[in-house]
Amino acid sequence: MDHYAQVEQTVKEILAKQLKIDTANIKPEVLLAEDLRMDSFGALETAFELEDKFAIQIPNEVLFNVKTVKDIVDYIAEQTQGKANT
Amino acid sequence: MLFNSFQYWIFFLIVLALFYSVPFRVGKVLLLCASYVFYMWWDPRFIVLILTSTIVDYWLGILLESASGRRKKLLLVVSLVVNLGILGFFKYYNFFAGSLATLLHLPQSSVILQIILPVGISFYTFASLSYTIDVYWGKMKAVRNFIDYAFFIAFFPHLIAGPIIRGRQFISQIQNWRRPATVVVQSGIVLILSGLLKKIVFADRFAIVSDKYFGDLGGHPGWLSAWSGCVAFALQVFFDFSGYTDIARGCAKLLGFEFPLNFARPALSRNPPDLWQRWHITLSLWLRDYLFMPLSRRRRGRFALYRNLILVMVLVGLWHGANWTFVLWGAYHGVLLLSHRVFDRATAGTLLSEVMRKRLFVPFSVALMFLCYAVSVAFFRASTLQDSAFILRGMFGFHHVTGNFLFTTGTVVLFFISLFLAVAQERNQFIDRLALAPARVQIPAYVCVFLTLELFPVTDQVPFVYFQF
Repeated sequence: MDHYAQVEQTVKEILAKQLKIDTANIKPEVLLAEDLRMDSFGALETAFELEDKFAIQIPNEVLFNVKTVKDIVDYIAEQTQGKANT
Repeated sequence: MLFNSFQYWIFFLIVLALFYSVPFRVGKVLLLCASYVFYMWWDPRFIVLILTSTIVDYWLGILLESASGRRKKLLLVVSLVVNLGILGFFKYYNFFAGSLATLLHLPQSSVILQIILPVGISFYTFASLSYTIDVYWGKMKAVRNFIDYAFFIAFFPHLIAGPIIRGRQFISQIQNWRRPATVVVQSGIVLILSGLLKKIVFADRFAIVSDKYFGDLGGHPGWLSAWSGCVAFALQVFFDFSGYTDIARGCAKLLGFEFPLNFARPALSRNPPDLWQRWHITLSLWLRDYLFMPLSRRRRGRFALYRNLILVMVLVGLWHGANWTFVLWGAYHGVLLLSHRVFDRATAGTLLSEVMRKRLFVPFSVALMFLCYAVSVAFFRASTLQDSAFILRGMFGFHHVTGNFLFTTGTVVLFFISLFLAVAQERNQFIDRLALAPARVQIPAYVCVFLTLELFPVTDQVPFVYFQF
């Protein structure tokens, strides 16, 4: 499994646990607020879990502006690319 | 100089004419001077406070940019102490000293000072603090031009009651100012007219009902009176503050500046988090970014998050006014947010959650949220905790009488008109689209608004609710 797919799978698992839904329902283009009904509090709890899991810090600007699951995966994959290569 | 006074509009038209008759570098000095005149109209003495805050934060910003380590932290602490010190003394000294005196059984007269609350102090203090904190965090460069910085703090449309603007959003607008396009001017006019309508036709009419109740609580026992008074005030404050913000944003647009959105039909909120994303948005975002997030990043865990939420909401209450009623108002909203979060987590993935997501359920959730907000009015509008307790007892039937329905036929009609307009705006943004409409649509719309303002004003000029904060 390549780096991007690994990140995507982990993000889906964390979101599924947080929102109590099946990972199969979490598609990359799904909107976090509208489709998954994630509010800012839920976004914060998810972000903290993602930060701990990937050992990164997600800035507030990113945290409160991501719209889709893909946006999160793209950001984390980019931030952790270096770590994956080393 | 209230936004709904003839005096303000004479002032604004003179400033607008002078501003566009000179080059921008002169124009911004002129706007700064006009802003100080506008501020001094209330009480010339308080110009000293705004100048102190401006000069201190301007210099601290420059020093912060090149500082590091302990020195950098110390400079930020100086900014916090100066700004919050001024705010604390003028707004909160009597509250804390009085509360302490009560606790120690000392006479109130021994500690209470005759302090006048400077208008707009909570708004410009937060604007100024956001600048020094952003420079400290490295999110923006320090401003080297003193006029630009002073202009950001004092620009009169936002000075008295927001929206709370931030340096990194606004200072670049001063540095890259362009004459507004026709559509921006039209959108500014639409905002001003919509703000005047909200204030003069809606808020001031609902104020008659709420004033009748809150002006004589003892004379209005019973659940029907209590709910009428609180619902009327909830509508009044929504229209009043959002009307003020529309006028502020419209005036700024006519001068070529853009203020952030501060209201998005809060009366149509579906749940507590939705309310705070629609109501006084700039305050919610300020507290989220400068208080809640730093606190929450320092200590992880769900319990810490919930504790921070309650703490921030109590501070939101205290920001509104130095009174235990406001503290409870904030705490109540904190509890609402927390309860919603816990409920949402507990029901996630269940049938109940699915049902609540259906469109059919939306009117019920909106009505429930509105009633929850109306309950909070018992804290927000009452002057004392005893009054709050009286209102709450009335709302929940403990007066054992029905009371009177205080709305008149006219205000009931106004309620349904406002509901219709809010839903229409929510669905297709018709007010925003009016600015893009052809003249044959715009001109009759403006004429209708002028006629409405002329035919349905309340006789007395009612001050804006948020001016007191």
